Amino acid sequence: MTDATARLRTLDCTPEDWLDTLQEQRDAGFAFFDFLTAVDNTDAGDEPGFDVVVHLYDLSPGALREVLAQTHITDGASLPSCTPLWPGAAWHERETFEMFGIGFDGFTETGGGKLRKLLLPDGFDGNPLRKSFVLASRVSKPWPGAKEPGGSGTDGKPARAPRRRMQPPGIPDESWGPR
Amino acid sequence: MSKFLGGLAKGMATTARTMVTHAHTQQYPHVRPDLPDRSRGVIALLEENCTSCMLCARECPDWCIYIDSHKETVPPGPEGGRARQHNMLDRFAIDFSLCMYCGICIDVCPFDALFWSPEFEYADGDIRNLLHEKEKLGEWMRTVPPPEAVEGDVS
Repeated sequence: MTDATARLRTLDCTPEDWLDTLQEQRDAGFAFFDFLTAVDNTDAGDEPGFDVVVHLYDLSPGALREVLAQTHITDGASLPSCTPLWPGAAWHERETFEMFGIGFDGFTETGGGKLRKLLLPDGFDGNPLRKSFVLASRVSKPWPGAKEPGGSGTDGKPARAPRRRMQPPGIPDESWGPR
Repeated sequence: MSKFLGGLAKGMATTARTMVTHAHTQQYPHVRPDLPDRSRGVIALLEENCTSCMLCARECPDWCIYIDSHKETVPPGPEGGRARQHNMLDRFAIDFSLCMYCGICIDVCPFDALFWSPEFEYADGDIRNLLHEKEKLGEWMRTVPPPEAVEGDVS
């Protein structure tokens, strides 16, 4: 895996150059749009925000090449839509919109649809792939790892005070009620 | 027209070629599949090795490992020393309805108490039966393949 990712060419660009970079790559033969998604880096110390990534292929015979294009936007900012370049990017942008809450300016879809949810039901609140999103199943269930070795009991409380604060990722805070 | 005939000939050639090659279909359940030893079928527990250190339960991303244990005091031997405490495992359960077969628990276990087994035929109509307690996890040990022989001089 490390070998493959090491070989994969990655282009970093600013949000302003986003469409130009993609257009350039498309003109350079990378005309096959594979996917678009985002990475939640809002907890990064320097430059918190989201990385938006597009993976492209060059499928011309005899030359299978691939490239990643990536840009960084702050929380709440939006990005120019690449649906004018690849109409197929519409589903990916709608999914990124609902999962991360990232807006895409100039979004167009066959049939003239607006940027809207793709998979989530109407009325769903929140962006599930953000790190700040709390999983409901984590609220209703005590963490099995909270117990200390040798500490029994089914209340999920440690037998004695743990030496350090131990919390698994995704555990909701106190405001979600007692557990 | 010649383009059509050319395409037809090419198609027939492909048909003729695949006609004589062997199909890879496996006739499960009439024939048991020949699975590699490292297949991720089920997780087996070697209870004797478990020290109830909780590492697997804490690392499990799905929160599907449940461990209960208590401390027991071992009296000092006849030649002196002091009483020692050690953990006794009361409950070890894996909920295979939640498990995503990532194998992190097996990787983090410092005492080699967890093993992959290629056994996979434990589907159940009732989801509660997928919660395997330590007795059942222990039974899976029979299906764990022996470790691969180490090549070369290991002395």
